[in-house]
Amino acid sequence: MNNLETPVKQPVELEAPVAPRRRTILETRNLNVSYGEKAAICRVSMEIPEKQVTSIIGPSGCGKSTLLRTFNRMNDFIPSLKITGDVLYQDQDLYAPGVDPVGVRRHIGMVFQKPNPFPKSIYQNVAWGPKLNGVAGSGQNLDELVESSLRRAGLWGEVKDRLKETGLALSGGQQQRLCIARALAMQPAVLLMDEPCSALDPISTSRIEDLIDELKASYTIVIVTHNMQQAARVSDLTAFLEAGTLVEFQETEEVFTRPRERRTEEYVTGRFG
Amino acid sequence: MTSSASNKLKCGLQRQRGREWRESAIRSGLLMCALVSVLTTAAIIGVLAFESSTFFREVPVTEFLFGTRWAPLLEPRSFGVLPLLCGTLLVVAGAGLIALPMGLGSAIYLSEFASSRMRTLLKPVLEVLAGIPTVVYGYFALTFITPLLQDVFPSTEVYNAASGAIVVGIMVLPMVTSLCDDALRAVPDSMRTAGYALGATQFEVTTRVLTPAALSGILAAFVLALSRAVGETMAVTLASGSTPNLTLNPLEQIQTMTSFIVSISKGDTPAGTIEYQSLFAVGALLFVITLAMNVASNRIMRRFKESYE
Repeated sequence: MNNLETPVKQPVELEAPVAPRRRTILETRNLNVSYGEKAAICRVSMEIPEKQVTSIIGPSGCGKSTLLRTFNRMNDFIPSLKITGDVLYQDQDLYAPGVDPVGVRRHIGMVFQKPNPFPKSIYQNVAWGPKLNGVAGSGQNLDELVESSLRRAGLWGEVKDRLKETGLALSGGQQQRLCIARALAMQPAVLLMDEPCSALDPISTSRIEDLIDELKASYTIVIVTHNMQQAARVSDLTAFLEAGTLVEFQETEEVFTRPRERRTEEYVTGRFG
Repeated sequence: MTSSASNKLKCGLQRQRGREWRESAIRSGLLMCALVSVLTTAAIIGVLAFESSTFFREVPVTEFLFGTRWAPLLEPRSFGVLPLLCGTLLVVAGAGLIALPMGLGSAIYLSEFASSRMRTLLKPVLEVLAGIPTVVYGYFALTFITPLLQDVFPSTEVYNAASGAIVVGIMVLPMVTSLCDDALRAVPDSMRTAGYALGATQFEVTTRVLTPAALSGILAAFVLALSRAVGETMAVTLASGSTPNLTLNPLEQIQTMTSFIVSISKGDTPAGTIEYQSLFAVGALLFVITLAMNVASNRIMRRFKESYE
């Protein structure tokens, strides 16, 4: 820095601090999804901001998972599925002709309800994705990537001495963190989580929740959860979905303390659902 | 205890004589059914052991296992089983070369790529293929495959190992396909979604997730199929001939262990002679080989079952 220059004075903020408006990374516009004749998602438009945790809550069968899976085209395998409207990732339509769903999934990772490590070693589980698309090549680069992914997933300390053991030997919570590490190794921008704690005990759940909190510094996280306390604890924004329609979508605190809609209030206060 | 209470006990809870008898009759009847197969197996093993032990009293085991000339009927007699073993090996290797890759390939197609309509169309076809009598396969080899081979390789003999190998390969193909298909379908769907979510194509999911995960089941299917090829008799006898021949040339006539047993059994070899006993020695060897392969296949299968629990 040039010493001769007079230091620039920081402008004094006079207004109340307002969180900077974050860039939108995922967006749906008038999204409709149906399985055959049955509509699953109706006219949902929402903007998901970058590097925040957005939770999607709602009663069973309301279309939470369907909505989540449209973000990385994991619904493509259902032949009867029909989608209209737009799903934008960094302003590109994910369903435009010519978009490769395989490429989409390399940018937008996913963690599932039940931990699903491959029946391979811990190391190979994490290295699987990078090996596939050849980002890390092999050898030392790959070793480093595996280590950093396991560190980010908060699992490195527990497994560093047994990377060659099978991932299936880990506990349920460790397996889920291994799956998170595996997804992170792809260096995605967005991590989708489909009820990632519903198969875990409370201690493992709280570890994953702490992890989500750490991860949002670098990743955008969209989490579907059945557990309203979890949504309240981990997310910045909450979307309440009912029967395929987006009832309310705003800051988590607002949703749980001053919901705009009566249906939201009834749901979050436990009067139904 | 009052008398009324004991009466109640009598009519409600006392054992019924007739039923007990019936139950035990059914139980012993079922036991008999189970025993029949056990006893038959034991008897076969006993006969094989007894007859081949008399054989091995005259022919040393080493001569039998390592001798290179098999001539049980012609003087000077010679009981080296290697030509027969070699014939069997030729057929099994050839059959494996055809059935294993094709079987795995069609299993992968059926379980991962075929639409459900295609599947319902193809599965019964495979079952039909499995239901064709082996003698028909043998005839098919002789009248169709051999002439075809002769067109391509003019030196092909009328009876030849290759023709037998090809037809046995086709014969065990449905079995390989259906067992590999089972193994692939046993891989939980969560493995597929895990692969897709990491940006894998369908091909990559198949080759890098499903096939390795189902590997033990696939290997077990392979071993079982080879074991069936070892024991296959009729088609090989018809297609590959009955001349013991220590060769690795698949276009020459050979004799497998099974077709030797057929040719001696249907002839008028008197019981008690050495050539009659050689039948049991070869049978025992065949039994040991297929048993070992089936045990191996079972072991592999068991390891496979544990991997997801």
